[in-house]
Amino acid sequence: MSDYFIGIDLGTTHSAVFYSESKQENATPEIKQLSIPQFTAAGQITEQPLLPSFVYFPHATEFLESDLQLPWGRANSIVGQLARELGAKSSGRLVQSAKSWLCHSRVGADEAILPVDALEEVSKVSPAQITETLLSHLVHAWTLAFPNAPIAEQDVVITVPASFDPAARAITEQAAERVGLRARLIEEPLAAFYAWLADQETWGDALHVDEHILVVDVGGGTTDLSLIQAVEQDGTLGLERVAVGRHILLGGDNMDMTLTYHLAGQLAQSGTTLEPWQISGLTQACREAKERLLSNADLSDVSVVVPSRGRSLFNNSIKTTLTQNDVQQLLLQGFFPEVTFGEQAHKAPRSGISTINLDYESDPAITRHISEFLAQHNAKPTKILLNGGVFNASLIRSTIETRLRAMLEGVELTMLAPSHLDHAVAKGATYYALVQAEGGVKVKSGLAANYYIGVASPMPAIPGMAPPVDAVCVAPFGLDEGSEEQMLPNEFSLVVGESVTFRFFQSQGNQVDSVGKVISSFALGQLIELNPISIQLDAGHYQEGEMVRVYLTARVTELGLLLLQAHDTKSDLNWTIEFQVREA
Amino acid sequence: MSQKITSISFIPRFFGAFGQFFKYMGSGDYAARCSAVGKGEVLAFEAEPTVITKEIEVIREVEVAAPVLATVNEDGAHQLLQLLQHEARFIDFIQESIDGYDDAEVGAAARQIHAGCSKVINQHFTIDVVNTAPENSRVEVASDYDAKQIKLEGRVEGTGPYAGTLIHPGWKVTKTQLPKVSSTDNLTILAPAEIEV
Repeated sequence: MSDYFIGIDLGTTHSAVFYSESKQENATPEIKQLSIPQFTAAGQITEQPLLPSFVYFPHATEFLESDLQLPWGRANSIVGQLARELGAKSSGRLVQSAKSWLCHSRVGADEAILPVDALEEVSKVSPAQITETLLSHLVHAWTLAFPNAPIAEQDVVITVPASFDPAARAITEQAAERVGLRARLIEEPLAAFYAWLADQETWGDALHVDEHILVVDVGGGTTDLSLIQAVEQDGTLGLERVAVGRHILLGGDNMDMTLTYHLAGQLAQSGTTLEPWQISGLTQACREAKERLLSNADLSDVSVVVPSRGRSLFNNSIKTTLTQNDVQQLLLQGFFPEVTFGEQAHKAPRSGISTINLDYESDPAITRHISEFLAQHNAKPTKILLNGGVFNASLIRSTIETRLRAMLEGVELTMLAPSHLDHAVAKGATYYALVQAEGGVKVKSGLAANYYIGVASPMPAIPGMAPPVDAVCVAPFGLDEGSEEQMLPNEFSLVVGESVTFRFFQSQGNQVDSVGKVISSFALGQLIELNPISIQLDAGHYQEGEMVRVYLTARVTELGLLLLQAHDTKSDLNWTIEFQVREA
Repeated sequence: MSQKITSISFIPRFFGAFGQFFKYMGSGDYAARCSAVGKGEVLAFEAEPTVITKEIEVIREVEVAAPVLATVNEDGAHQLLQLLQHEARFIDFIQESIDGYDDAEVGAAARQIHAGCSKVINQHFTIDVVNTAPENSRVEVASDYDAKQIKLEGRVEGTGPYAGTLIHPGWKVTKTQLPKVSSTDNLTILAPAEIEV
């Protein structure tokens, strides 16, 4: 029995840790936030509630040895607040948004690629290593605060985007394991929903059977959508997560950038060209100006000043103004335009060659992404739960509400009161850990899509044509964690002792396929192909390259990972194919 | 005692006597020593040490500490200046003459400095009022009030309790959370020189 339930929100831009004691007298558990010691200047360590998810690799002479001492020892890289500040001033040494790289379609999570603009002397690291660095910092912070409650013995839940594919989940899981955590994963919008549940005394009164709840989680860099349905389970009300959106790289930071480029454009017209450092100063100033304007609609404009880097605050400083009209026009129209149900997100024509970087969204309209998502799953939600710091601005909250009401004409829409816009995810994760251990209402989630494995079908040799590959469903949508193994009805031949490639596919909609269903090679286009994995399975007592008759089973582990197993029909041999090795 | 006189047996004594004869003959100094021993003088290491007891009067002057003014730790002050410069460019602002700039410019800069300073103060200190009563309201002060916390002004006389108007509620720090530093050397460097290479 662990002493604490710990929820880790491993965010794209910020990470946070929440916890609650497991042995509590009173019924409503108190969920507290862990302060995380981090560098705020050379040799200065401050405890802050959030850890910016930034890692900076300093130059050998940049810091004195004594300035790199954290309470738990010497730091090889700088994590947190100082990393972000240093990265704004020095190029080629900062890693940010590592999390979004975990589910990059063309870059493996184990590929040393970050920082993308690395200087020659900076050795690149992989997105998986960065995740480990960030997690390790959080684990150290916990150990410092609770030396008598080793984190390895606690119930830990880590949040991941709902859109994370099985490989990205596996990598997060493995990174956690390497720093000594045995953690469960939970999807972020679902965690935000759990945070809402934690606040309800009788949640059953608020929801009705068959109604859909849309969770809109707009983080710093990503937008995550999930659909939860209230269902009847043995006469009582149950909850089921029925659909998740894709990985949309669009968030609050885009809004700050929009204002920055708008002002930078204005300045350029008046003859002032900004340098890169001024852009980051301007972004900071724009963020503050935006918050003031959005929180007070009576304010007509706010002056934005980017001071010079020199000692004078007045000489060479850049001054401009951001008007209420600009903000409303650019943010509300740009990110939350009016849409009709079923409208698709715009796809901008792409340039043929681009540098390897994150696949940022080309359509900034969050409402359009929502409409596309809802239409795809043909659902008209009646309850909306918002999450993310963006919605702290009441104007943005009311705009999205108006837009959704207009889009879902004729539906009586209720906005659920979010528990806390910034901290709900980590809080929900903690509550989920508590529910797992002590019971309480659970949202049935499981797999967010059907998963298929590519199976070559026999064909007489035809020049210039590879044997067609059919996709066989191995794990259906909604397959629950820790549930019974799913066995495929047919037997297959498996090549062992030789390096072979496995192809994986994922369905787009939330139509549940039965296990063993075959999608023929002609219809493969309707599926999304995941990264193939190339492995050599141990031959055991068989000859290398021999084909073995096997039956396949699939299950989702307790930790939420999809595991495929091949069992020899004639002996006790088993082969496990994990979604872990990814190739670009 | 480390050394001891042990008796020598006959044979070595017999032969030793010849050696002693010549040694006695050859050295006047040695002969003198031998005769001193012969008269019954003991060697230094054989003698019992004598304890000499003597009473000495020690007069120690104990200084009764006169109230000295304490100096507060400078490190903390330097650290606060560092923080104010880092977040609010406070030193830049104070070190620059604002005479040449108009109020609008100073105002725009002040907004930034205010935002930065309040961030520093709110993050590192929890500040509360000393007296929670609203300003300009009538308050009672007990006779044994703490002069650190309350400052009576105006016509202060008699033994109290006192009644008066709350002019300023006062401020107090209820919690301090300054950053921890790995080394207190060079805290006088409030901000390093920045050089772009």
